[in-house]
Amino acid sequence: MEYVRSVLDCLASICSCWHCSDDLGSQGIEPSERTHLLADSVNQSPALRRSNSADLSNDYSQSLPKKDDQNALSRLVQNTAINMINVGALDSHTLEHQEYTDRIKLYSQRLQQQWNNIQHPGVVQKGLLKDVPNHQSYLSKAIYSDDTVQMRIFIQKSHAGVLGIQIDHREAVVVPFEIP
Amino acid sequence: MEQQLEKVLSEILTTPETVGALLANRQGLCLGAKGNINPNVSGIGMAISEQVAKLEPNSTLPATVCLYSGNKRCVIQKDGEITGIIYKQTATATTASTSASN
Repeated sequence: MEYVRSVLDCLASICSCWHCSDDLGSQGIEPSERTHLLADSVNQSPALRRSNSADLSNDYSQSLPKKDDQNALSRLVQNTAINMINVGALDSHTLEHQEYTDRIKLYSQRLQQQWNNIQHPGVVQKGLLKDVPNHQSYLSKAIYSDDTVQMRIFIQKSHAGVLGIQIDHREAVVVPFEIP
Repeated sequence: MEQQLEKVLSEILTTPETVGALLANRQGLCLGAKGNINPNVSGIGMAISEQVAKLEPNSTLPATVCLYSGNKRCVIQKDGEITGIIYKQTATATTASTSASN
């Protein structure tokens, strides 16, 4: 268990160092939508600094049980910062018109690609037993033509009958209240 | 009020082999029943006819369902708002199976 924990801590510290360099490298570049929103604050946070030095104190982790909690917390903060897209840094005013249209093209192209990869449930044929070829052969038994003819007449007459339904009121529809 | 409907149901019962007839509305509620048929089957009959209509959703013709059981058979058709169910009984027995056609 201790071994696994130390390996995890090492991984975390390596990751954090890698992100440090990543962020340092990207700090000189003007901010884009991929710039991490919390990158700076995370790098300067004491939690992260602790995680950087976590590998050093691995041997004493037993005597310092709170270390793991803080490591886990700092990892959480880090992951959140990494997954966040900094919309505020996406300054649309600084974008050149050409770049703007290029991005529109690129994004719509990518969307189209993703759209083509999706299996659209709406396009699938509607109806029961569409996956069974020739379902008639499984379901059918000769139906009497008499039955269909009789049914057709029955339904036709019934339609007329239903239309003929009307309320014939025998008493007064409006009943006056007997107010003394 | 619904004399015309009663008349239609009585007429249907005069055809040979027919033992019961029922009419259901769009919600599966019984509009009228005559002969040896339980008025409570109106909902089930309407549901069956709706399911069968899904076999051929593009068909404009109303689907007719025929359920065979022993010497009895049940014919169901849904056309527009109303569903008709007819129970028929023959002297000769047939094996139980289901049939659907348009």
